[in-house]
Amino acid sequence: MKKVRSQKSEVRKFIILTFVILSFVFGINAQTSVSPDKSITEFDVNGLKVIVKRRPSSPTVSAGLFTRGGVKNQTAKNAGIETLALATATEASVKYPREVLRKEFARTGSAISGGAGYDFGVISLTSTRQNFDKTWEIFTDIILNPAFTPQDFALARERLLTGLRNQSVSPDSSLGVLQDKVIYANHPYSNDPNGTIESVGNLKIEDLRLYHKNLLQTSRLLLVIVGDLDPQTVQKQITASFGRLPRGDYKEQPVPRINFAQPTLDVTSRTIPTNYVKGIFAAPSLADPDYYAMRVAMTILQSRVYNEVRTKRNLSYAPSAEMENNAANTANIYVTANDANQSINLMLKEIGSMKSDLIEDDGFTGVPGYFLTTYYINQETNSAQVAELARYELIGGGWRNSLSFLDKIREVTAKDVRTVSQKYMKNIRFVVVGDPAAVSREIFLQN
Amino acid sequence: MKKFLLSSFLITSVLTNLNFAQTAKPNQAAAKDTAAAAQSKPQDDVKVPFVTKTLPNGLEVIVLPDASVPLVTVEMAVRNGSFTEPPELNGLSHLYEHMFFKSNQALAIFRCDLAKSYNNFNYYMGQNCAEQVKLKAQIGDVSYLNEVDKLGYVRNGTTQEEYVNYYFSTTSPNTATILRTMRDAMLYPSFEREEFEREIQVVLGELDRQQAEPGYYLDRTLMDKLFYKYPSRKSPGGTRETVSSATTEKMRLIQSRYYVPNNSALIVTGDVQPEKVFKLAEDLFGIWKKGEDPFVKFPIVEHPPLTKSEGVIVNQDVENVIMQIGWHGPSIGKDDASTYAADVFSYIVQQPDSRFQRAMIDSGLAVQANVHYYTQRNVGPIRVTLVTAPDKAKAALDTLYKEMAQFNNPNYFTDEELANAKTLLEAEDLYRREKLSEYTHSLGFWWSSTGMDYYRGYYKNLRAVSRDDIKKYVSGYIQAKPHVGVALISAPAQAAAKLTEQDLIGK
Repeated sequence: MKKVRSQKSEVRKFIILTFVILSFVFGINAQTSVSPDKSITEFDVNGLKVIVKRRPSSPTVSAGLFTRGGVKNQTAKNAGIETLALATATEASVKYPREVLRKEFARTGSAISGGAGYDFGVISLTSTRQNFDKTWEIFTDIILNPAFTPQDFALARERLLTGLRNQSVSPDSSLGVLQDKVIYANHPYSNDPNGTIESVGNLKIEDLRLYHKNLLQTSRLLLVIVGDLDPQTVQKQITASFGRLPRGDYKEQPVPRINFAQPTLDVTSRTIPTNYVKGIFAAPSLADPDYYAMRVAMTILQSRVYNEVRTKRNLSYAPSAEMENNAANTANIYVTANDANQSINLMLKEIGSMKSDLIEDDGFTGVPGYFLTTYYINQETNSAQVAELARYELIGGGWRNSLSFLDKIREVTAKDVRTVSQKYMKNIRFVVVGDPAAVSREIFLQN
Repeated sequence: MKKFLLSSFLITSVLTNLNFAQTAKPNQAAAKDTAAAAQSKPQDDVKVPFVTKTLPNGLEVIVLPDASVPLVTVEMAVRNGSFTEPPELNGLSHLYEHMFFKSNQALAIFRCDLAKSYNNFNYYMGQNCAEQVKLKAQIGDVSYLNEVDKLGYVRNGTTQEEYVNYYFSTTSPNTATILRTMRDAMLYPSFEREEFEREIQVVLGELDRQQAEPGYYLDRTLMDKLFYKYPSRKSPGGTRETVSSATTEKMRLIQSRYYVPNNSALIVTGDVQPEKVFKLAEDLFGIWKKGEDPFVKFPIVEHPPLTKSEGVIVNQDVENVIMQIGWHGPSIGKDDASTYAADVFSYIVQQPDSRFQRAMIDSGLAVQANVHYYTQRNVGPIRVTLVTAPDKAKAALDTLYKEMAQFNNPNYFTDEELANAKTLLEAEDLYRREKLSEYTHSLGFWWSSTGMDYYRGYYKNLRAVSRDDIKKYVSGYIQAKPHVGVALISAPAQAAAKLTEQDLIGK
């Protein structure tokens, strides 16, 4: 249970509208298919895959133009380039200087922003339905003709550098930095999507221009839109905007698995009131058949560690077990506690129990209902639906798999849970921020 | 730490400040409870289509129907929190919140029934079940507890200065069961001593986490200095000492004072029909006895104004510098007009092309600069926040004070920016409402700090805000007013930047 809501700073990209006339297009290869539930339409515009989900009466629209590849597209030297390129691009376009764009977005309440992650990047749009057409024009012009002015570049870079300087200040973020360093060593994910102070500091505006130009090939893009929009009308708009982009021949390369050959323990010494502990282990990706059993297993593990560590023994406010959603995926147990040894010992015992015993029927009580509830909670907003469809399309074997999520969860058996627990919950790699004396290697490395 | 920030997909970036723009009228709910009893009241402003009904016992029921997804969120909101806490009770509203989802009398009866059915006489005798089951006449059949664990709900609670809430989200067919669950947790807490002692340790663990964050010391310093006579009233977490020494008797004290229907609201959003919810609410919560108005017997304190400006530097191991300048802002019920003006002004100066943002951000002096007013019943603070590199701190402060001196210059913002600020506030609400399970808490926040009448008229009143209103707000609360300036910076960076406490107050 958390308390006081945090104040987040508002970072909004205000952009400008002028006239975009792209009334004729050629070379379009448009094929349309409609999903079984009729609300989702897929089509192709000159190699650009498009997914449109219609939500009748929705007063807002969300869209994302996703770029494939993520950190596989960058090196240690230019790490952070996609994040910075997309963030800078959303400041202004050649035709529409940022002052005009900012005013237009203030006038309409729309927003466009850019960012990048481990597996893909995105330029996203949020607008009211009423203002969608104008916002779309701005969105497309930003993508096709970003201004990349020195001032935009300097501001976006300084924002990114400020965040990077700050990334070890909070104990939780410090734990994340240590985790990335340990877990992603010698892996493509070691090139952080936000880069380093050094790599971002060395990026030049010309680097961004070139990088952005290379992104604009339809073979490496995915467009997802959710709102009360007619797919045919949208298709015409997309064709007019993106129909002339080069196809390119981008081929997504699989990302290697993360190394969990043996358990490890790394500690960052810090004098703080409690110890922050995370134990990371391998997990199946969204495209893996084990994914659903692992999701159920992690939900049960979460319930168990909460019960044992917090409810029964009051050792921690925040014990948890979670699963990430990356292509090279991981799961983790996490706790903040003065008595880190006892907390981790209890958590590892729960993992041991899940590996050795079949979950009894009452262990499954509430699991289907929980997934049903959280599934709908995750479907509440158009932006969440865009993100979900894109994630499945980019790293989950295709967006249609998202439609069978609940069915696959319901099919999971106690035996499946035990099997994935045995397969993945081992060789746990621990990272700690806090008092090194509070950490016993014997306990932490027992798994 | 999630690295992938799909910023516009996390709608929070578009919505941030509204959550803090709220306040409350002390006797608003009590004044209208009988008059409005049993009358469903349609929302005047079509923008937020909630309906309300006040039960005869004073419980306000607020329903916002939306069938976009088959979910329901049920929230109980209570006007409690640190604004009701003298030093000796500081943090105990929060501890009470932790105890809410623990054992209650309905659960005790359920366990006794189970023990009886399994012939577990040791449990039956040990738990004094013969007495427990007598409560069935009052609480009713508790067999619903057989089903609760199968519902698959998500639940949580939060404690703030003027608002404590508890909520469940589940699929809409479970509405009646989850309302019953909420009712029994609200009306019949057990405060079992062993559970209570354990939960104190959990809350201390939560305080440990807060105090491990450098930002905590910035926030606490600013609040303690601004509200120097009654700092506990602005500190929902309380202290280790008060939490450690808490007793179940103190929990009962809080329950008797604040957990009465005429100081609470039931908020239901999602795939529901208002009339059915009202009927369920009457059936379940009608037996809850009305209590004394806690704010008559225990009035909120009067925070004395600042007599002079003060600068404070907080040294922590941080890389950037965060500076906040704080003032006493308006209070709901005393100066509502300025609360609307405050929100509009904050949204004028946060527009990226505003003069303020161009001076602070486009100039390269800071990466973040905003003005924020936290609407509260009892003196909402106004804060200006700057985030920058240490070597720019002095120059950024110098420019900030020059800009603030111009806030009432007629040319400081355009008519277009004034209109856009109102549009942005409305758009923000629209985006926020899409995430209805969370928007429920916004409704609770509005109810608790401002009362729903304030919120009903909120957007209409925002639209009416004029330049004169903003001038009055800026003159009355910011310009030439005593204030507190706090900087969070590392000691070496402070020395290198030659940043002083005088810099923080514009001297």
